[in-house]
Amino acid sequence: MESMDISVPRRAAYGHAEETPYRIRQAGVVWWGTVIALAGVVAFGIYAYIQQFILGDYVTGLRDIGTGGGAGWGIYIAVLVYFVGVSFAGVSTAALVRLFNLKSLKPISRMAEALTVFSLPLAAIAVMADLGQPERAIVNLLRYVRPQAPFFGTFTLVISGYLFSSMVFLFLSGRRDAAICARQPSKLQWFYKMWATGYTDTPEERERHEKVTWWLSMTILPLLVVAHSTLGFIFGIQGGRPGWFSALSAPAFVTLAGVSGIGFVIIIAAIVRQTLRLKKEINAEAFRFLANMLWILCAIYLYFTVAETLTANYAAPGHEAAVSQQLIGGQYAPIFWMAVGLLFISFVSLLLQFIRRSMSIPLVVMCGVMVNIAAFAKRFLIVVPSQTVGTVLPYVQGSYVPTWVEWGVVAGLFGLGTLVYVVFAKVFPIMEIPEEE
Amino acid sequence: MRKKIVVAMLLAFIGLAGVSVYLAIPAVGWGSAPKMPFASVTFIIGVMGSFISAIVYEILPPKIK
Repeated sequence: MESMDISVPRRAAYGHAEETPYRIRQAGVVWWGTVIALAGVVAFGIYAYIQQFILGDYVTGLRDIGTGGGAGWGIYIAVLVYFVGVSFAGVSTAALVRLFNLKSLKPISRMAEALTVFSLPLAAIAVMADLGQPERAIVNLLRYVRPQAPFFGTFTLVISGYLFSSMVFLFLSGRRDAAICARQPSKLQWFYKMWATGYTDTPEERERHEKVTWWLSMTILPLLVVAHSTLGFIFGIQGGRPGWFSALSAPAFVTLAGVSGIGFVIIIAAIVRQTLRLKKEINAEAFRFLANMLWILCAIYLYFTVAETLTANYAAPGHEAAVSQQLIGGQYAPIFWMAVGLLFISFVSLLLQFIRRSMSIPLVVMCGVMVNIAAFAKRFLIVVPSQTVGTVLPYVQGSYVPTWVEWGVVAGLFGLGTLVYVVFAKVFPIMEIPEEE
Repeated sequence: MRKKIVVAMLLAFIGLAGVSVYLAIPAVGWGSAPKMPFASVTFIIGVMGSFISAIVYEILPPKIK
């Protein structure tokens, strides 16, 4: 393979010299319309948060547990857990591609890496939104957090380990494409040159890159299982909170993270495939692999749900049973059965597709959407019911309904993540640029 | 030369992370403050530095004059 001479402009693998790979830096009306709409959603989210900041958390649905008749952790914490879960499949997909040389998934590797890098900060912002005085949290958390607290692992390993390693992964895997983009004069040439950091695509550099990304993948996979498990332990080791205290919390968190993450990767891959007309590059094989991973993880999570529900309703202490009964037949039953139903439908649909050896990308995408709705609902059910019902202290049953402020902030977070992703895809190739012929 | 630099960096940052975990554990009692305030910050720096070693390995030329 001859090395690239990045000082001399040449025809790129993607065609004519004026063309850009995957239409980067070519923003049309649709793109601008999307960006403006998303910016509007983000602005609404900021407005909602400002209302909360000025008027206090009273404008939310959050109330003290027991004495206030509500839940102290609500939709913000559910969104935190959801976004951390979504980030799971991002870098794990990219890591598995490198470790097992999964050629069918290679085209979606960068999309998955970007998903992780952009969703983790959203999770951090969700936590900040939940706090009455976020600036105190930033200082005091750093100052006082101890390894005995599961939040230590979440806070440090997720941010410093998981997020940073994902950023390193994305940076190193993007150097080659940055060097290619730096060939063309443009307003962003400085940015591409900075990212490329002198990459010249020699065989020795490629070998070094393969070695580094292999070792990074080996490190990231156990790290993210540990990081997600500590998030599960935040709930699972709280003995005084029926419904939370469970040995299955950590493995269920990791599994549901895989479900929602793979579902999200499927959705993003389908959107990119459609909007950039990459049907040949992102083919059915990639979706087939993801679909198979998805039904397996759905099956495992449904099994965990059955095991937990059966245990809680068969011989669990009264408070545990009370929480479970509210889930399956009480005030949270509609959300619970919707989530379980969507997971079950996705599992059955994708399993049938596997058995019949058929492939329908629209079906896979639909399942990706359904499992994400189910995962969001499930995160809500993990966080809220244990605070409003079945409390060990003799409080009356409480309730929690998010207000428009909370929904506004959540919408703003989703809008921000989508906006950043859309801009990234316009600035940098969302897929690896193919080798030159 | 590059390998030596990267290994030294890796060991230094992993050591920093390990020491930080020790310093983050309270000196007395389960619920008291860490031995050193902001020990979690040095832990984060240690972990991040370990991953920066990967960047250094890939970017540095094999022989440094």
